[in-house]
Amino acid sequence: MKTIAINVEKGGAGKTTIACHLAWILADAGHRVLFLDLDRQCNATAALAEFESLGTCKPLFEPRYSPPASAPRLSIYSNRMGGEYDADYTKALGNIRTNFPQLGPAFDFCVIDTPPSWSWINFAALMVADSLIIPVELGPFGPASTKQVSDSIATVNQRGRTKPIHVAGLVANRVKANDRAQMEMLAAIREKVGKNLFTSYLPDRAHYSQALQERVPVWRLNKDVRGSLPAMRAFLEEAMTRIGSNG
Amino acid sequence: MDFDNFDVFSDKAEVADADRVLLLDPDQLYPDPENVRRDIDPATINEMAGTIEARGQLQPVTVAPKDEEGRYRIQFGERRWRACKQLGIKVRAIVAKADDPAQVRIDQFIENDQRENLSTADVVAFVAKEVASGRTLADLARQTGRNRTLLTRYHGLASAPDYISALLADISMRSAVALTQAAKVDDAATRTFIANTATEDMTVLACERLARDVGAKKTSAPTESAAPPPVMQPGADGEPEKASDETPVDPPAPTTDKIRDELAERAQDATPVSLTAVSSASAPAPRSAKAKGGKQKIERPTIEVDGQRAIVVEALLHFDGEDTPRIVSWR
Repeated sequence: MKTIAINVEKGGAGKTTIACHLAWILADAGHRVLFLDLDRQCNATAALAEFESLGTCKPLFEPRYSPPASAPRLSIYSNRMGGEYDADYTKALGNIRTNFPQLGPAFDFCVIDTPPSWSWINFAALMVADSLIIPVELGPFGPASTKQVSDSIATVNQRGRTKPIHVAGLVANRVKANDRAQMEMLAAIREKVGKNLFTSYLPDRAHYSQALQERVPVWRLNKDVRGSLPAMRAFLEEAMTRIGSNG
Repeated sequence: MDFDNFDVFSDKAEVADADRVLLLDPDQLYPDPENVRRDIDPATINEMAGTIEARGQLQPVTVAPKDEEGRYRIQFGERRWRACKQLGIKVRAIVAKADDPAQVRIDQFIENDQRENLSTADVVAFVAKEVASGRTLADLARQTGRNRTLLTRYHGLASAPDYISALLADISMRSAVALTQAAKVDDAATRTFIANTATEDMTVLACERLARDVGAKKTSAPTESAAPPPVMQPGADGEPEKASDETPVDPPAPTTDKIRDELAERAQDATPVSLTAVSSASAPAPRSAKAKGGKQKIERPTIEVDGQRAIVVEALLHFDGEDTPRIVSWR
């Protein structure tokens, strides 16, 4: 099972949009896909209509976990936890570290959507993931969010992993191609992170959020998606190439 | 992996602080057992302690992230740390974000190497270790900014006989290469030479003379002429590495020089170059005629005469800004 986490601490950067579309394209390709919706808002859970619920992800953080005997090809765990472990998460981290690999045989891919802001839950996501996709918004705080995520990565690599997480890359989201400030920021980020920046980016299109609302990927949205679909396709294709054989 | 007493927030805060200079107790730091610099002279520590006492520790040391026992392994600055320890003062240190031991090794090498005070033994050990761990010499040359031929020679010395390796801390790389060559042909003579010569007298000149002498005794002409330069294009003088790249394990140094000498002779015979005709030479600024110490590395320029390339061994050159032409030799 290849596990891909979508993480950045900034809210509204496009984590859920990207995570859902990644899950959809993997599902369409016939893979067995597990979605781990760790965001308490559970927006991805609402959008991924065809993924069957395995219930709350809470058992993953508990001792004596056993994976579902026959998991549906498309399954989803949702974060329905009410903050049970927030006060004492060290055991929960130890447990998911042991439990998560047990899901490996049942799925080809696992996509993890993460909550905004740093927490032990994000630590857990980065700890169990093979690859990481980081959406960045080219707003005033975009660059700061990449510094935060690089600190998160360093923290997890030092404390939670033996093998460093594979950073599939940063992808610019909600890009307005006619906004000069944004294009300059994009160039600055590329200068800084080099090939770690996706060559494709996601433009600012209402279709992406409309698709999530309609609970379908943008390629099944009942609209003229000629202006929004190609960019999403290009991004997903690049993402799959970058994720490649890291697993 | 143990998460007891783990705090995701303070851990991350520490990571975020990583680039700031911290004041650490010397006991919280420990040296890297694998440090590329293995010989540390106590006298230099005293010296450094003196400067630090007078002016403070200007340059912070770099340490790896805190280990499980809460201690920091030194990546760069073992001598600074020892000096602070000796003075009983806190060490100014920067915690590195990542700790990739392989990269640290490379960085340690670069740091020390660029100050030109690593011993031949240190370099040989470093190169051998990197190659053993799967790094190619080409890659190493790129990473360290060192000439690949040079690294090839150092790597060749890793398999030198013990009695030569024992000298590596004290003699130059070229001396060691020459001795290794000599030992291959005449082990006994080489041992005798080493036994009867003080290390400071094992100059490049003396060692290469030995190599020539034993070579002349046993191998003589057949080997000389049986070593044509098939891989060398006449005139490819500036790129002698090409020949040795393919066989990175042997120390091909003298061979390369020999080939080059032969080429030079041949070029001379084949094309009687009128020295004054050297006008369109692609020659780099020559280093005048002071080829010091016999077989120092000579980079001979090349020219083209009647469509044929040639190595310039000696030439009458009129430099910009000089009154008269003068003869410059690359012998």
